[in-house]
Amino acid sequence: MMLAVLLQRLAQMLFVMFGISALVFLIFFATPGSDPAARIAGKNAAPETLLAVRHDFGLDRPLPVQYVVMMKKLFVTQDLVSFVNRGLKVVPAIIEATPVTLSLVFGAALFWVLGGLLVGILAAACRDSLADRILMILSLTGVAIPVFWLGEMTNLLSQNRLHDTLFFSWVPALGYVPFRADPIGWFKALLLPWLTLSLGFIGIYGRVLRANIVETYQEDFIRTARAKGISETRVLLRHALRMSLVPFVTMFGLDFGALVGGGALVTEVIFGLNGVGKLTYDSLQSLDLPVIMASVMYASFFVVLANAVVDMTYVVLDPRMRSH
Amino acid sequence: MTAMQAPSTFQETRPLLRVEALSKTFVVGKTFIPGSGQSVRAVDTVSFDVFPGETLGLVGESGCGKSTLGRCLMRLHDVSAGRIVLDGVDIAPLSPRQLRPYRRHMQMIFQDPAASLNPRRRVGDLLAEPLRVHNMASRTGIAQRLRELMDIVSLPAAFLDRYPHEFSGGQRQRIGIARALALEPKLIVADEPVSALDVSVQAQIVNLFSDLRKRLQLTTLFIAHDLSVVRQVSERTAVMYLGSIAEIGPTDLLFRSPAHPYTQALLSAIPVPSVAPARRRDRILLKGEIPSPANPPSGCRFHPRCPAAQERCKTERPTLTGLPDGRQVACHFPFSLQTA
Amino acid sequence: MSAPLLDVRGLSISFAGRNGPIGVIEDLSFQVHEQETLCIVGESGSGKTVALLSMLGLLDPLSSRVQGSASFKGKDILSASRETLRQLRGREIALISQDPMTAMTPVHTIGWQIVEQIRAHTDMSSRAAWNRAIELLGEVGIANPRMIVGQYPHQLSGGMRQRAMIAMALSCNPSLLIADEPTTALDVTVQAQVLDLLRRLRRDFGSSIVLITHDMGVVAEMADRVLVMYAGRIVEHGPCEAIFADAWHPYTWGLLDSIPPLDGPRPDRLVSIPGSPPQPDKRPPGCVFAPRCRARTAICAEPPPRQAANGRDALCFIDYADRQARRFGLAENMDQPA
Repeated sequence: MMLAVLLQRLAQMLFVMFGISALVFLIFFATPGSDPAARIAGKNAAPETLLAVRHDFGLDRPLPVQYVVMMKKLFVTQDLVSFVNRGLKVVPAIIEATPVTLSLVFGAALFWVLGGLLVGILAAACRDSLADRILMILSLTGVAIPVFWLGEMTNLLSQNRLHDTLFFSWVPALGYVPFRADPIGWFKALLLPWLTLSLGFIGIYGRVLRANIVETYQEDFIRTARAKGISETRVLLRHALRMSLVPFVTMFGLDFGALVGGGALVTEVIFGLNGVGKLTYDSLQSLDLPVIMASVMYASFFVVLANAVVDMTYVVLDPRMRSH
Repeated sequence: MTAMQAPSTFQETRPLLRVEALSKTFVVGKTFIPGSGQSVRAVDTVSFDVFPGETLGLVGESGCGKSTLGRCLMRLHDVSAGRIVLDGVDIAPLSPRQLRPYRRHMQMIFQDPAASLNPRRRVGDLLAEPLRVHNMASRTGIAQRLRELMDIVSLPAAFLDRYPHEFSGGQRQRIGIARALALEPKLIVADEPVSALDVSVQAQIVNLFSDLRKRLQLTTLFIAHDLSVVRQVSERTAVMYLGSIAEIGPTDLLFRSPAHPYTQALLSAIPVPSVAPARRRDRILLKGEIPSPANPPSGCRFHPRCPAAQERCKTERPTLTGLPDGRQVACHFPFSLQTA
Repeated sequence: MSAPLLDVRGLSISFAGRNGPIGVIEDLSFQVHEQETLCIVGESGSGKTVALLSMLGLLDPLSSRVQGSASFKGKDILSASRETLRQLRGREIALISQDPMTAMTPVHTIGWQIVEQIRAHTDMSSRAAWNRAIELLGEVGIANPRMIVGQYPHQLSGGMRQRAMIAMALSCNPSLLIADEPTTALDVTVQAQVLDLLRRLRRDFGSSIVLITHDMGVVAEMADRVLVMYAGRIVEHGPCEAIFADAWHPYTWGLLDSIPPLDGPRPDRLVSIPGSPPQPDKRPPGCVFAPRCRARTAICAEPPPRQAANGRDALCFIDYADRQARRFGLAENMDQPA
């Protein structure tokens, strides 16, 4: 049974990746002005040059053949080369950018999950009180602050004005430090990006969790739990919270997948982290199909993976899902 | 015995609805792997007739398939096997498009009238909609028909301009009934129409059903879990257990001397609102609960819970057989629990 | 009789509404004695559940206001501290809810939930509490308690779940069991089993039971005494036999007469109560039942007196001399909705 579920997941992942790659491919060739041969050949290139380039890059072959060749180069031989910068091998580029993005997103996720839980549970525990209201207003503020503004402000303070104060003297220069090379440096380099990226999420997750807990409090089983004479804290943590986590986890799966897949672009750019978001962004600027394709494949892999993990978490959270 | 013979006059006429060997199978738990999933036979080879102008009560406990049966008759579900002959036409195999002209002849009344009435539309619009859809009447004709319908269900015509949420549960059920009656259907299927209502209001709606039967000669399949309500409104009663009919016959006969052990147990389980010992039946306390229709017992479906079960019941499934007194029962040993 | 187990006097409850407080319960007084079954009958919105939740301190203190007094075993419970009430709940007063489908936390096993309650009130070890849970499940008639104890609520049928609920309620040997429509969501054959179980448990455990129901059949079968509630008030109270033999209040007449009989001749029409119960904020002045009452007279616009005799009482103007004539003299059935 377990094997069947895994197989089903795998089939689903392959299907999604195929669908997205085909879609990206078609959109690319249907987009006006995207002709890669024209870009490679440069402005006002002679038709002969254009033809030569086209032949050279295999762009004169039928689209399905081009698609298959590109997929083969991406997954099998792994020697797909950028259209724009012929020296750039796509697969190593992605592999190089991945740890940067993963470090950023995993760390931020830790902050926002813990922060969201804390805000949500505290606000729900003292709902309708002043503390609840203050927490909710703070959360809303967190949601409302744009990441680019928060990031630039952080940099302004920590890199320029106050860099020499006690407060921010520890902050290293912008950029990524590999974990293997220097774990402490890695942490220092990422701490502010983590906080910047997670702040808005803490606000959203805290508010959603509070709303769900308050809703769960209307359920009959909460009344039963109270009627049993267990403490109010226990009613909240052992009975109400568990049921309220399902939407929380759902959101987390979507957000996490999207961020790992390149959605953390703004944070990456502001803090000079050359992650997948940055790579994707640059490739989109130059309409560089091989890189776009590779990063899209990478992103869809993580989105499907995150969803699979979410589904498994459901089963842990709610035994009713186990029978299906 | 006159009361018992009354229904036999129906039998001489042609049934309005004839259900023949109707079955409905659901597949649950299906994945992409072929052959996975379990088929559940919710309705299993059910046959019965409903005659013009009569109310047939259909009782049973949750999961016995009575609501599924009602929905099959309305063709809200596709039918797995069998025939549903409504006024001479078998509607079981018809496609949704082919069904369209027949839809107006059969209407359903639901348990929760609130859920079946669009809250954003006035009662008048809700009632007029089916008339317009089926091109039943001109504009003045519609207005007149609406007043007529409100009169039939004993609501003031002024309520036509109000919204469903302004009404109490009983009034909403009256509106639900008026809507079902708008197209003058040949057959009404009422699925637990009074079970969501308070006791004091329930009696009003039960009375309304009795009135409608007399006044409009309505033909109704009245599905309910409450046996006393079914006794009050129906000429004949069918008892379902685990997808099949256990017993069907004239209501008075069935309630006075039930033949199937399940009918007996069901009747004896109802708490009687009286402290007089004479009015209490000897209770037959059934063991266990209704088995899952996904995995029904062998032989007679009722045998694991039946106090009168014998060897034969475990292997051989009884068929619905007529008794001399005019009822049909699916039991090898009818009346074997007679306590008197 | 000795001092009552639960003694409620002048209980009034109101909820915060958009236009000021809405009175839900008005001047409720009743007693529950040792080892008796008191049935509270009433339709939805009559306030029967709210009244008992207030006893357990389970109403939201921010939106509700409770007045009057209620003492349990001689101790006031309405003014008791939260901690005192917490210790009382589950240990001395246990609750069985209407719908077993939703009344147990779906993410914990039956055993876990029973153990949680036992451990909240005793210092029994988890293992001992788990064994006690198995024992309790056996006592409520579950055939294979060792298997059921490890299952989740959704894996059980409605009847089994209600049995598990009852086992949990009994886990600390409470002296008072509040059962809020415990069989309404169940099929009749299962209802019969559960009622049978409750009767047996009262005998074996000696708890008093307050049974909230709308089904007069269940009342006849279970009750020692009956409270009939309508629109937040007790309109009639008395011993079960007396009320079924000779009900005093026209609302009780309506409740009894509107049930279709299961034997004897079928009446042409049922005697029904016209209209529907009033919303809490739209209750009429004077007698709350007057607008739906078949026996109403001009005087019913005034608040009715509570007439009492022989251990029973009714909130109505109709006196002893008139009662029979009024009940059966009204042949005309007002079936039109109000």
